[in-house]
Order: sequence, then structure tokens, then C-alpha cells
Amino acid sequence: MTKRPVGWEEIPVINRNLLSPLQTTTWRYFLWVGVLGCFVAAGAGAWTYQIQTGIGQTDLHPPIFWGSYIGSFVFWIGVSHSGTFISGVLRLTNAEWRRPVTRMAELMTIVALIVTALFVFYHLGRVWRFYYLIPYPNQRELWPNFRSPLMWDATAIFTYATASTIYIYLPLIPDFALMRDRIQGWRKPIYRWLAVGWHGSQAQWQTLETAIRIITPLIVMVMISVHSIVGWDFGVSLVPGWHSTIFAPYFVVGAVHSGLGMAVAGLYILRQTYRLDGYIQEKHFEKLAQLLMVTTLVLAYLYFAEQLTVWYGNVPDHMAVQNSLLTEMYAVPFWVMVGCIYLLPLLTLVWPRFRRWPFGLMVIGLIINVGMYIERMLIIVPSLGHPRLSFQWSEYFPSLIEFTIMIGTLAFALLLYSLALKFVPAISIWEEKAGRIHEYKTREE
Amino acid sequence: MSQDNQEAHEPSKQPTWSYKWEMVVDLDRCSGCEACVVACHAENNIRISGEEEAAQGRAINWIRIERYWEGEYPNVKVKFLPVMCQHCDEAPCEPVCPVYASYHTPEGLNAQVYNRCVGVRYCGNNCPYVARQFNWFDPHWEEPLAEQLNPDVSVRSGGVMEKCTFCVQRIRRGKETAAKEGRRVRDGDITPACVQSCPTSALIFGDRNDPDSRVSHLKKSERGFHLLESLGTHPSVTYLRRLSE
Amino acid sequence: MDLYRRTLFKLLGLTAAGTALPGCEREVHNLVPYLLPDEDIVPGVANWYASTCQECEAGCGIIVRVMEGRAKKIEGNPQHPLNEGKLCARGHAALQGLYNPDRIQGPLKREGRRGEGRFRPISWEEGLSEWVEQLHSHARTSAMITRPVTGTLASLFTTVINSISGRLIFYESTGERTVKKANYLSFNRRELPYYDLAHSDYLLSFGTPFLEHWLSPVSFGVAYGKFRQGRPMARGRFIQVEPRLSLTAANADRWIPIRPGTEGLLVMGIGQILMREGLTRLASSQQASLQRTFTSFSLDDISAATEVSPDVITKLAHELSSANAPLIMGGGPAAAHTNGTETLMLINALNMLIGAIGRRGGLQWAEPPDSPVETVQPELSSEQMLTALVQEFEEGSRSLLHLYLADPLFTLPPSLKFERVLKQAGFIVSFSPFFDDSTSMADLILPDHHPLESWKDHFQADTIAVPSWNLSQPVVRPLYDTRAIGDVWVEAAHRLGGSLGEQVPWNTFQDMMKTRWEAVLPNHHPPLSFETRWRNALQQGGWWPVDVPRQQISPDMPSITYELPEFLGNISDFPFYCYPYPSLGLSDGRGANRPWLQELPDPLTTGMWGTWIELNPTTAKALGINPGDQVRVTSEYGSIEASALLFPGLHPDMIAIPLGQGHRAYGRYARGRGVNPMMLLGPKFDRQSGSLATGGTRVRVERLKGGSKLVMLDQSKQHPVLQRMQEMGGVS
Ligand SMILES: Nc1nc2c(c(=O)[nH]1)N[C@H]1C(S)=C(S)[C@@H](COP(=O)(O)OP(=O)(O)OC[C@H]3O[C@@H](n4cnc5c(=O)[nH]c(N)nc54)[C@H](O)[C@@H]3O)O[C@H]1N2
Ligand SMILES: Nc1nc2c(c(=O)[nH]1)N[C@H]1C(S)=C(S)[C@@H](COP(=O)(O)OP(=O)(O)OC[C@H]3O[C@@H](n4cnc5c(=O)[nH]c(N)nc54)[C@H](O)[C@@H]3O)O[C@H]1N2
Ligand code: SF4
Ligand code: SF4
Ligand code: SF4
Ligand code: SF4
Ligand code: SF4
Repeated sequence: MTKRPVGWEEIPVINRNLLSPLQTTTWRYFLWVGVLGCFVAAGAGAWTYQIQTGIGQTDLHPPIFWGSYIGSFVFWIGVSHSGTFISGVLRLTNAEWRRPVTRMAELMTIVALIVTALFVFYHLGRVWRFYYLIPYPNQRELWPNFRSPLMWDATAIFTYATASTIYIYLPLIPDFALMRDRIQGWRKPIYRWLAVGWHGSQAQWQTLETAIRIITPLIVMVMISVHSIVGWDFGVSLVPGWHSTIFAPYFVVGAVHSGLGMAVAGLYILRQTYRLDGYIQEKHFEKLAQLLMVTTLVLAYLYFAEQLTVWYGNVPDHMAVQNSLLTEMYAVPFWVMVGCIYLLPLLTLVWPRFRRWPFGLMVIGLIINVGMYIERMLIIVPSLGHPRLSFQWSEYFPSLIEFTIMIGTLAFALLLYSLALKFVPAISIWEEKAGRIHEYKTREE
Repeated sequence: MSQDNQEAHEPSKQPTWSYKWEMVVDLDRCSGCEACVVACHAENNIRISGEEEAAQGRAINWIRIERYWEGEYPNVKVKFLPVMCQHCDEAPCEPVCPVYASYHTPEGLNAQVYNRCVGVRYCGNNCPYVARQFNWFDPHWEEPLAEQLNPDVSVRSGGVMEKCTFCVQRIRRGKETAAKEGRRVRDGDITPACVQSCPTSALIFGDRNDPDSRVSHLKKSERGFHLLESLGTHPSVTYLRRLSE
Repeated sequence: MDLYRRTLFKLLGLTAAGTALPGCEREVHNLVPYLLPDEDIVPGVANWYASTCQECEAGCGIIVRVMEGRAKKIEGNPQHPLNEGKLCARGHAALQGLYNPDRIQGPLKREGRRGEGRFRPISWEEGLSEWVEQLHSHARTSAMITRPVTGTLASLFTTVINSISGRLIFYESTGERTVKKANYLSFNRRELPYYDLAHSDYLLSFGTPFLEHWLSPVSFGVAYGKFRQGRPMARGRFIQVEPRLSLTAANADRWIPIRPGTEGLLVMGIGQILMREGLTRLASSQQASLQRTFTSFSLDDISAATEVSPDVITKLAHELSSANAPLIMGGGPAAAHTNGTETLMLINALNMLIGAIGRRGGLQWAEPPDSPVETVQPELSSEQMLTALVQEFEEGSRSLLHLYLADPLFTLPPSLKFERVLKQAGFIVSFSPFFDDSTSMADLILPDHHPLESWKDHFQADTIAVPSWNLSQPVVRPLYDTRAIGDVWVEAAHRLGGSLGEQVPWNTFQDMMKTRWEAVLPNHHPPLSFETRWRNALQQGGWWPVDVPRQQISPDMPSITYELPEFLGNISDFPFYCYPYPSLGLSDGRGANRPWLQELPDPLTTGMWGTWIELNPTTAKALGINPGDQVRVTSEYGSIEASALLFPGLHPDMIAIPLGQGHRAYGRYARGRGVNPMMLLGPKFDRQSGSLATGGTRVRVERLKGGSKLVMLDQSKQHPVLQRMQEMGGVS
């Protein structure tokens, strides 16, 4: 266990501690990457097979035209919100405790966004024609249809990806400069390029902080709009069970919920792996746990509001969907989901001692994410499976190929994250230092 | 160049007639014999899905006969409902398509541009009539079954959405013939394959812009209704209620 | 052949014919009379040829769209008096017979053991000489089982078979022989009447599946449409009586389930009430003979036996008497018992009582056409007669078997032991274009062309308002090295020589046809040359008079001794009635090699690509059977296994199973798919017609371990039985 250094003399220690994962690599890391690589290869193989033979390798069929890929898409875009939410909102509210967690969460955003985009490609029936979705100049002057929520989606995700890349990049500049100065070898020229001539002048610091201050509220707004739009993918349709105004806020909160869950779990794993308990302390877990408590309650409230209005309204088409969830075909996954995302978090997180138990929180974080994955599927399948003409009712369960692709993609996300940790420090070094100095100053006074 | 394009580009040179195509389904005549189903397959090069795909619920039918049971033995009743694309005037499948593969023609048809479709399948979800059918794989005909394929209709590749077109190739042919003779399409000139086959004449097709066409008259019948009318899709298919004693 | 001699038809050119439907203009087809030579084919321009559908015995008029030498689509011939431009699912699928990947592509000779399925391609010369040799060496012991053909081909078969003292058997498992027998016994007419459904206002049908596969489903469909909505202010009412709610019953205003085999009793009950209350439309002197027939059972006994309450019977009687043009039809399951003919004769008598005979909206017979060519349709053989054939082959009095488009090995129950014929026969020649189950047992296969590749003619007098002579012509060049059966038989006649050579002087079958057609085609004024008349006939698909006088039918009806049905299998071991019914698409199985028909959902169960076993939901519950469970149905004669399907419209004591699947051969789409319920049936026949009593064998059902896959269009497995329709605003 790394003792937490005190005072000014801790600065070199921080540098050493936080840069060490970038400098030393154990056989465990290679094994881990190797195993992930195998899963990724399996997933890639499955996707290639699906492209070669046809999207029929899924279990999709009318009327269930969307399934696990769109479910995963929604799930992963939710995860991507952890970064922006934790760092953006906490930055906005000037929460001091955010410092050791922002970078990890932001990395999660980027990785999750890449994965999200992948699921769009998996889903396309003719992925080799993906560019029809992009506005590009062509002789026929055919442009994509901007009335389509899917175009809103594409635009929003593109904006979100751009904005969050900038957003993660800005606070990375001083760290890049640090690494440029400390790390030798092939990475050095890259860091030099990325550090854009940072040398830590007062003017540069001021510019950087202004830029961060400007982009932070923007990114929060983008995040809310992006997930609202994902919600509208469903909400603006007229599918029973989807056609509801609550989808946008529900999706936003749900995204934060799973994002937070993922962040807590990731934080714990990183802390254990790189022995960062000096930096990531129980108080950080506790704060995140408190946030999780809030999202659990808000999400539960929204979910209840949604189901209550359906139930009370008693419109047969909508009831068919609800009944299938509450008591019929999808009751088991539904109640598992309720347990995972509402009941278990509520029952555990109410205990102050639990909130300070990092391992327990990690477990809860993972459970929430399992629950949220199920929840994403349950949004899609039961609704599509119960169209208004009841002759067409049907059911769906992902095929082996779909599972392989989903698991391969999960492995891909972990792989990307693991590789990224060899390139950027998991904790923002300069922010950590700034925090210490701030803390030190406050103590002095 | 098709009539459509000529009308669009050279309005002054060609006399223009505007049509709105309409189908009427008389449920009091329909016997559920499914002649229409095979007729549509034969006319429109609909793939043979095969047992496996059919078992997965993927058998493609542009028109299907939905069957609804009511009551219990011995007081059971069965009702048949032929469902094809309703060519909605406010088609929910159209705005959601990101690439304009599902679009509305000036004659009220919901057209599907196979070449444009990338297969996101949102249109399939949003069609309340589940009229849309998807090619999960490339189609395949055992030799020499493909000899039968209708050269007027393109074969759809895997990854592409398709559905009833109101036999647009026949509509086009009918309009071309009429245009050559310098006249409007007459009622009965154009018969989609299902309409042509239907033994009981439960299906009637025509132009609702022509006030004297059979569909214009039948539409006004007090038996008339639209499927899922409350959704406001304004279908171009009018059903006539089945009567009982 | 003439067909390809390019110069000959050049002058004939294209003749455009408007195919006008009454009341509405139609697309103008390029209706051409002959297969066009290559240089007259315009790429991208369709030609239409008139012909006749041979997918079932109805013989609807068709027009075939041909582009660049390939048949593209079949449609109904709008001018044809039978189907008025309409077509059924099976008619469309004829194309998949033509382009079927499993067609026999040339003459074949067996190698290895019989039935092993190994064949060697041979030349036509070798095939023909082999056959003629066999005819010589099996002199006087030939038998020919053919599907019922009419016209020139029937005449050719008859001539040749008679000259070699053979036996000619016209066999069709769905031939409705019982209906024809009852018709003959009641009215002394071989032709079935024209059922004027279109003008009737009240239809009482005992089991007739006239909207599915019965007799002439397309023409009945056309009439049904008019019956319901074809007249302003009048809508025909329709009651169907049968133990299983068929597709036809699904269309009825009322379905009256009845205990299987007791339909005749219900007819008596209705007749009794009509007579008692003086509601008949027959002079009392004329109905005296019927009096006894109709009163041999009391109304209470009838009600108990049929499970139809006296109130319902009375209501039916009153409705019949108050209707303007009531019509009664019988067939299907009502005729599938040992008393089938009697039941149908009772129905005929009831039609007489209500005055439906010869009336508009009733049953009508055309005057027999005054024609020099024979117009009687060949009489169908019954299953009982086929069992007699088994004996003849075992005794050795028959040894050379010919098969043409008949598959008795598949369509007959094994209990009739037909496979013994195939074992005992000295030699088997098949002319079938497909490896059906029976053809797989052949020693020599001389495959016929597909109907769309060959000449034929058909005489049609059943269920049609005017008798018609239909033509089939080649619309495409033969795809393979097959030969028209007519030409093959003409050739054989020549080779057999002797008096037969004189009786068959023609070079080709087409010549023979044309000679006969010179007699068929009326010579108008001013007289037209035969070639012109012939070409006109080809162009319109045949010839039929505009109208013919109706024949008067004598009201004297034979007395009927009605007996209750008998069943094989005692009720304690075999508690259920069993009803195998022809499938809408596959019929008795001959559609099974057409993928369109395999994939055509059965309208009621929505099943496809397989066989299922239908049970009443209450019965299934009592037996602990869930939908999708694998079940076994057993009779004294055999057992089959398939997936259980709960069918709400089924008599609780009945098991129903669709026919059509369970082929051992018949190509990739049919082979090894599903099961054939014929396995269950025992040798029980209708007493009068000798037809197999398909409802005459009792069975038991048991659940087996595990489920089995049944492909259904309706995927809502969680609600297997009852669905709601309330979402469909407005459907009452
Ligand atoms: N065997 C053979 N080969 C030939 C020739 C020949 O006669 N016979 N002719 C030669 C000549 S002259 C030519 S010009 C070339 C032509 O060769 P290609 O350009 O390959 O022509 P096609 O096969 O007619 O069409 C190509 C594809 O375009 C698709 N298509 C149709 N409409 C559209 C559309 O609106 N958008 C898009 N994106 N796709 C569309 C069609 O479905 C088809 O798959 O072939 C040459 N090669
Ligand atoms: N339905 C349909 N129509 C089409 C097209 C399509 O895809 N579908 N494609 C269009 C296109 S892209 C094209 S290029 C045109 C092609 O249309 P055409 O130019 O009509 O093409 P071909 O039929 O290939 O060739 C014309 C003739 O040239 C003859 N010929 C060959 N070699 C020679 C030679 O050395 N000297 C002379 N004098 N004659 C020769 C050939 O025998 C043939 O009769 O078709 C167009 N029309
Ligand atoms: S063909 Fe006509 S009668 Fe038959 S199912 Fe179709 S619509 Fe109904
Ligand atoms: S029925 Fe469905 S596919 Fe057809 S226009 Fe309406 S929404 Fe679109
Ligand atoms: S499946 Fe094709 S038509 Fe449908 S929304 Fe996607 S791209 Fe458009
Ligand atoms: S109108 Fe044409 S495309 Fe539509 S169902 Fe009928 S046959 Fe098929
Ligand atoms: S009823 Fe159908 S199969 Fe029979 S002849 Fe007519 S179209 Fe052909």
C-alpha cells in the first residue's frame, strides 16, 4: 500500500506513483491483454461471419426488428455518460473530491462511445453501405433524412464524441507535457505532439482553465441532449410501450445510473490493480455511492411513473406490453432487472457503512450494470414483440452470434481501456497536485 | 424515362393526370383462401424463405391472411384479415428512415428504394401493421426455379427491407399504356396480382381521384373502416366490415 | 416438331385480344395462339398464352405470361366460364412444377433393386423399345393407373389399353367419387350439377369444403363472392354443418358442429319437419316416396345421435322454407364415412324437397352437348376397386403396371396393401415427370412434359354452367429431354401395330387432337376454315357455348336405405374419430414439391412446412397435452407422430390431421417432411361408391416425451388459442 505523501515533498512521489503504470508492465498485464484479445478475435470473427452471410445470423424477425445490438447501443452510450457526468457535473459544482476520478471516468466515455458506434455498425443490414447515413456530396444530391431520429442520433453521437474528445484532451495537456519530459522511447514524440508546446506558463494555465470552464457546461448539455435523443429514438415512434414522453429523462438518468455503477466498479479495480488507495480513498467511494443513491431513487421514480400511467390508462395495446413484463413472458428478466437496478442498490446503499465499503460498492456497480443491460433489452423486445395486431405477437432471444459479438465487444472495451492506461495516467496528475496544494493551503490557513 | 419523371420535369409537354391509388378489402367476401398470397409471391419475386427461416418467423409475405379466433367450442368464430402495406398517407415508416429509402410518391404510394436501404429497420418497428418484411439473407432459388422471376421486379438482396408495392410495375405499365393513348387510366385497367387472382373479388383496386371508380364508391360504404384508424396513419387500404346474419 | 419450324407460324403473328371483364376494362394482353418462333420474340415484351390449369381436376382456364421464352406468371383466363379470370394458390404454383429442380429430365431405367432409387439415363429409343417389348411379353396383363384425364388423351389411353386387353383405372384420391356416385344414383346424371351459389340466398352446406379444395374451388370462390356481396340489397346466408370447423366453415355465418357420420340424420330431421309442417316445394304426390326415407328416425333420436338440438333442426328447416332460393350442398367430411353416398343422396332428396333442383340459385344440369366426340368423363375408380387390383397382381392375371400422375403408394393407406402391386408387378412403367413415391418403384420412367410444355385438351361438364372444351398448349419449349405422354402413346400404338395402328393413324398427338377438334368446333356462318377456328380456340383457351338449355330432372328419386356409419377400432381402445383432410395448398400431397405451397400457411392453423395433429383444447387438457408437444396417434393399422396443435373448432371426440406430407420421395421439398395420416386408415369403404371412408377409422392419442418443431406463421405461442381482435377498430 502506497502511503499518502504529505506536503510539498509529495509532488515527486505523485509523479512517480501515477506514472509508474505507464512505465512498468508486468506479465499479468500481457496475459490480461492476451485473453481479451482472444475474446475480441472471437467477436470480430462472428461479425465477419455475420457480414458475409447476412444479418439473419441474429434471432431478429418481424415484428422484432431491433434486438441485442440496439440494446447494447443504448447500454454503452449510457456508460459513456459516466465520464461527462462525474467530471463535468462535479467540475461545475466545484466538488473537490472529484480529482482522482475524473480522468478514469472520461476515458470510460471515449471507450464506451467507440463501442457504441460499433453496435450501430453491427446492426446495419448492409453495413457496407453505411456511408448512406453520412451527409456527403454526391451526384444525385441525395442527403440523409434529417427527420429521422436515427439521423439525430448520428449527429448527436458525432457531436458528443467530438466534444468529449476535446473535453478529455484539454485536461490532458499538462500531463502530456509531463510525460514528454519524463518518458523516453516511442511515445515521446507523440506526447510532444499532443502537449502542443505546453510549458506551464501562467498564461497557458489561465487559457487552459478558461477553456475547461467554457467546455464543461457545454459538455453537460450535450450529454443530456444526446441521451434524450437516444430516448426519442423510441419515444417518438408509435410502438406501444415506447411512445412515452418520459423516455428522454428516463434515459438520461438511466445512463448516469449505469455510468456511475461502471465508474465505481472501474475505480475499485484500478485502485486494486495499481495500488492507488492513497489517491482513491473511501471518501471518494462514499461520494459516488451517495450519487448512486440519488440516481437509484430518481430512476425508480421515473420508472414507477411510466409504468403507473400505463397501468392506470389501461390501453389494451400498452397493457399487453406491461403484462408481458410484470407477469408473463418477460417476468423473470423484468424482476431480476428491478432487483438489480433498484432494490439491491437501495437496500445496500442506505447503510452508511456500506457506502464506505469499496468492494461492496464495486459489486453493486456491476450488478447495476447487469440490470441496466437487461433493462435496455426489456425496453426493446417486449414492446416490439406486441404490435397492435395481436396476430403478429412474437418473442426473441439473442443468437449465439449476437452473444459472441456482445461479449467480444465488451472485451474490446476492456482492451481499449487497458491499452489507454499505458498511454495516459489514470489519474490526472496535475489536478491531483492542484488538489493537494489546495488542501495544503486550506490546512495552513 | 418513366411517366413519373416526365410529369415531374416537363409538366408542360405531357398532359398530367394525378392519381391516388387505393385498395378496398371486402371482408364479407374474403374467404381466407390465400390465392392472393401466392399470386403476390409469383408477381413480385418474393424469396422462398425455406423451413428454417420460416421457423424463425422470417417467411416473407407482402400480403398475409391474419386469422383471429374468438370464443370457445362450440361457439367459436374465425375472422380473416388480409394485411398488406396500407400505403399510409401519413406513413409512420417514412420519417424514421435515415436514408429516404422509404418515401412517399405523389400518387400516394409508399415506395421502398431497395438500393438506398441500409437495413436499420426502424421503419419495420414503426409500421403498426407489421407490413414490412426484411431480407435477413440473400435470396436463393434452386435452379431452375429462378427462370420464373418477373423481369419487371428487382430481386432484393440481403439486408434490405421490402413490402407490398401495390404492384407498382403494373401501375406503371397501366399508366404508360394510357399515356400512349393520351388518356387517363380507366378503372380496372390496373389490377395488382393479388386483386387479379382473388377468387371472391374481395380485393378491389383503383384510383380514388376518379370519383366514379369502384374504390371511390366502395370507400364510402357504411361498412368501411381503416385498420388501426385511431393512429392517424390515413391508410390507402379501406376494409369493408364482414357482416353476420 | 412443327412447333419449332420457324417459318410455319410466321404469318400467324401477334393477335391482340382485349380480355374484357364485364363491367370493367382490363389490361390488354398480347394473347398469342402458338408458341412463337425465336425471331418473333421481342425482348422485354410479354406474350400471353391461353391454356388450362391441370393442378387439380377443376381445370380452370389460364393465361400464361411468357417473356423471352420463359413462363413468368399464370393468371386466370378472364374469358373462361369456369373461373372467370381467377386462380387459386395451387394454380399459381404450377410454375414451380415446370421449373421444379427435381423434375425427371429424361427417360430412365432402373438399376439395382426395385425401389432402391438408382436409375440410369437412357435414350428415348431405348426406352420406347423396352416398353413395347414389355407390352409384348406381358400381353393382356397390363394395367394403367392414371389421374383422371379427359378428352383426346382419355380416348387414346382407352384405345390402346382396350386393344391390349388391359385395365384402365382413372384414380384420384380427392376425386369426390362419392359425390359423383350419389349424383348418379339420385339424378341419373354422370355430370355433377352446376351449383348456382351466386344466385342462391341461403346455403346449407354439409361439410363441403368448397372454398378450399372441393371439386372446383375457384369457381365456387367466384360464386361465393357474388353470393355474399354481388347483389344490391341481398346478402346470402350460409350455414355449415361439420365436425371440424374448416376454412369453409370459418366463412359461414353459423357453424354447426355435428357428431361425425351423422349428417344424414340431420338431413332427415330437417326433411321431416318440412314435410310435417307442409313447407316443402314439391307436390305431395311426388314426395310420397321420400316420406318413408325421411321418417325412419324420430327427431329425438336424430337430435341425440347428431348432438344437434331439435330447436336448431327446426330453425334450419324454417330457414330453408323461408328463403327464396335455398341451396344445400354435401361432401367432404359428410361423405367420408361408410354411409357417405346415402348421406349425399339424402341431401339430394332434400334439395328436391325445397325445390332447388333445376332452379336458379339451385342445382342445374346442362342438356348433354350434342357432340360427335364423346363427352362423358371417364368414370373414376374407387379405392375399393384398387384393392381388387392388388388381388389381380398377386394372382398374376395382371403383371405390367403403368402409372401416370397417380401416386397410389402415397395416397392409399398401407392397409390396402397397394405396395404388393408394386412388389408383384412384372414390370412397372411410369410416365410421371416427378419421382413421386410410386414412380420411385418403377422399372422404366418415360417422363411426360410439364403441362405448360405440351398439348392436351379437356372436356369439362362438372360444376360448370356451360360444358367447355379446354385446350392446353405448349407455352414454353420443353426444358428437358422429356416427351409428351400423348406422343409417346401414339408412337407405341404404331409400334404395336396391327389394328391398333389403324385406330391411331396420326403421327403426333397434336394431329389426333386436331382431328377430334374438327368435330368439336362449330362452324359459324360465314364458314371459317378449320385453321382459323382452331387458332381462335387456342387463343381463347378452348371453346364453350355461350349458353345451353337446362335439362329437366325428374322428381322421382330412388328410395334410400340409410345406415349409421361403421368404424374400425373399438371405442374403448380407440376413443377418437380421426379425420385426415386435404390441405389447402398441398391437397393430397401433390403440391408438396412446390416451395410456394409448402410455405403457404394453412389459413386456420397457420402451419407450414410440416404436419400437425389437431386436438380440441378441452380434449388436450384432459390428456395433458400442450401445444407443441410431440404426440402419437395410433389406430389398429398404424401410428404417426407429430406436433400437437390446439384447434378450437374441433369436435372434442375428433382428431384432425392435414394430408399432403410424409413423402418418401418426391424431391427435396417434399421428401421426409412431416407424416402421412393415411398410415392410420383401415380398409373401410363407403358402401355404395367404394371410396375410402377417410373418417372411418378410430384412433387414440398419447403424449410423447419432448416437444417438436412446428413452423407457424402465427408466432404468438404464448396465446396459442384465443386472440383478440378488439384492437381492430370497427371489425364487428
Ligand atoms: N455479360 C455481359 N457483360 C457486360 C455487358 C453485356 O452485355 N453482357 N455489357 C457491358 C456494358 S456495355 C456495360 S455499360 C456494363 C454495365 O455493367 P454494370 O454497370 O455492372 O450494369 P448493371 O449490371 O446493369 O447494373 C449494376 C448494378 O446497379 C444496380 N442499380 C440499379 N439501379 C441503381 C440505382 O439507382 N442505384 C444504385 N446504387 N444501384 C443501382 C443494379 O441492381 C445492379 O446490381 O456491362 C458490361 N459488361
Ligand atoms: N434492358 C436493358 N437495355 C439496355 C441496357 C440494360 O442494362 N438493360 N444497357 C444499355 C447499355 S449500357 C448499352 S451499351 C446498350 C448496348 O446496346 P447495343 O449497342 O444494341 O449492344 P449489343 O446488343 O451488345 O450489340 C449490338 C450489335 O452489334 C453486333 N456486333 C458485334 N461486333 C460487331 C462488329 O465488329 N461490327 C458490327 N458492325 N457489329 C458488331 C452484335 O452482333 C449486335 O447485334 O444497351 C442499353 N440497353
Ligand atoms: S385471395 Fe381473396 S379471398 Fe382469398 S384470401 Fe386473398 S383476399 Fe381473401
Ligand atoms: S403500412 Fe406500414 S409500411 Fe405501409 S405505408 Fe403504412 S407504415 Fe409504411
Ligand atoms: S431498413 Fe431500410 S427503409 Fe427501413 S429505415 Fe432502415 S434504411 Fe430505411
Ligand atoms: S398489391 Fe401487389 S405487392 Fe401488394 S400485396 Fe397485392 S400482389 Fe403483393
Ligand atoms: S382450382 Fe386451382 S388448381 Fe384447380 S384447376 Fe383451378 S386454378 Fe388450377
